[in-house]
Amino acid sequence: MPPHRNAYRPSVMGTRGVVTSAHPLASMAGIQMLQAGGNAVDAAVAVGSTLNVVEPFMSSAGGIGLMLISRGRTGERHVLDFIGRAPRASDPSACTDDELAGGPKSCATPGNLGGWLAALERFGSMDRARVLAPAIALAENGVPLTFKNVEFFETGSYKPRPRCSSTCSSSA
Amino acid sequence: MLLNVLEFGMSIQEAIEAPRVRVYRDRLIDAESRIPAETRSGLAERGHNVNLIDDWSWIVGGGQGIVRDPESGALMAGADPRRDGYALAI
Repeated sequence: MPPHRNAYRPSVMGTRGVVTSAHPLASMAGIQMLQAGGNAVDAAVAVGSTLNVVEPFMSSAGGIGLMLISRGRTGERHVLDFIGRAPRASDPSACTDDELAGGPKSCATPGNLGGWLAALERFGSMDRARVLAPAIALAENGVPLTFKNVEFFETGSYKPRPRCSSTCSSSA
Repeated sequence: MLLNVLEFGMSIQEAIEAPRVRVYRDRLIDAESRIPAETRSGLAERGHNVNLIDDWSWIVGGGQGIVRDPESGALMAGADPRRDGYALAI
């Protein structure tokens, strides 16, 4: 039997805030924002931008996303839709199923970077430089690779981007 | 994962670790091999095209989630060990 009822890991519990993401360093970036007095949107943007550095084959500024925001005090809800549009000249009916499943003809235009910055501007409490700082520091100083990182780098078609740090810095 | 929490009383971490499938276009399903053979053949009988994958496979995606206990306000987070998911709390 797994050690935590039916799980191999415990649910991670807290009373002031929790952050969960696809990489420990990205979750830590979110926690850093919360501990510095930032709100959930500050934390979410710190997580997203850090994933761009530490898990770039799955999450990046060139990707797309949605953000659902619920304000505790007022109960107000907002959805930010930053799913990039298809290029104007693209025509799905002229593509094969395989072409639509992956590759250049299946791509939407990037939405994440714009979505993060809009979220920060409208709902965040911290400035860009502060929220993007963890991602920039990791991009500049390097990131230890996990087994999964190596697996994706070796088997996937992902090519590291040496200009990643300057992309984040110019956004900040 | 959502149904595991809402309908089957799992913790958020249990819900994420529970065996999963990935559903493709048409009737193609990738099923983790922890899913019992009789369940897989039941799916096949219903017309699904079931493809067997590893017991724990990144193919089914990386799931993360947070649950707030309405009584105490405590926050519980889970993360997917199939990839590098990690949850932290304060």
